Amino acid sequence: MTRDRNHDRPMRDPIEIWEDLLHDAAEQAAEDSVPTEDDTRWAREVHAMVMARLAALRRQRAPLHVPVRRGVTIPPEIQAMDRGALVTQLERLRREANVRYAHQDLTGLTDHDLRTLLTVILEPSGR
Amino acid sequence: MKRDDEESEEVQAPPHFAPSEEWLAEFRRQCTETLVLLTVQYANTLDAGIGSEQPQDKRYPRTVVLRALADTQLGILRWDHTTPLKAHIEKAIQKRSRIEWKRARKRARQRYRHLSIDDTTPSGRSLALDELDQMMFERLTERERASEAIAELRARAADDPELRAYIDARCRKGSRAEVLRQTGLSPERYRQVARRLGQLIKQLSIEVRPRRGSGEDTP
Repeated sequence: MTRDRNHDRPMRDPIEIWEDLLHDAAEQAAEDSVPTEDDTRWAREVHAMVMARLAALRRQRAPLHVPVRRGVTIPPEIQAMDRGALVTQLERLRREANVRYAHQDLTGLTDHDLRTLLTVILEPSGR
Repeated sequence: MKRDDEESEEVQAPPHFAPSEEWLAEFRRQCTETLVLLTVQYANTLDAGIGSEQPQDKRYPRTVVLRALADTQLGILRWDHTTPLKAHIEKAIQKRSRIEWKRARKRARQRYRHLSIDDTTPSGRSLALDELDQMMFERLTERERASEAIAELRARAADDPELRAYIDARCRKGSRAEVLRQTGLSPERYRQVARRLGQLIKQLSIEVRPRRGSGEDTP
């Protein structure tokens, strides 16, 4: 094993040391760099592509045949909630109660859709 | 959270890669546009090699990052979602770089076939001798080259005690946290040291590994 002459302690593998030094320098250089407009545009496109693929992976996990429920009666306390409160409540349920729903961002859904979703989730038979 | 320096593991793509809900949520949370930008810059610095500035053309680093992300989503690169995604992508970039460098090394002879030691012009002869020096250096093993590079780095850092102490600590300690503990560097001081380290690496007179351009350009 190579020894450090200055400290007389065993040194690590030179290849590993070199990789670590390169890594440290490259990571710092990346943090210091200022992206160009082209970099930002490219990153945005790649991010959108990666998210689309992620959505496809999520869809694969969903059951193919889900019974569509109609005629859900929305209770007054949910009816009274505004959009922000509905989204907050749904997000909390997703995080803490492991509730799953297909619309990850909850965008594109009307307030009525959100109230219906929350009602179905909170119904004992809907879980 | 597990340590972030574990190797990204490349495996056979599973026919039906079905990551867990937690995996998907973590990937979604961590894979930001910023992560994409940072890892491209990281790949660009590694691709620059030693003793040179970063290339302006980012096609190669972008391709490497895109491939690492796609391979992770396909399950070819196995990512443990309890570890940072950025470290996983960086490991994948390092691994790809190693493969490219090994390929380039095998093709070293092709790089110098245009040179002639019988060149009679002073510049031509000087160029041929320089390239022959480099060729001799390429005959060293990767471990010998790494040792040479570290030795030169330490010599160049002789007037910078903080950087020298950092390099020495890196030679003995495996993790950055241990090195910071030993050197007593604050996060801000560390960033400054890492910047000076990057500058010194650009000034090294030797190539620890051959340039990727001497091999195939596609990852």
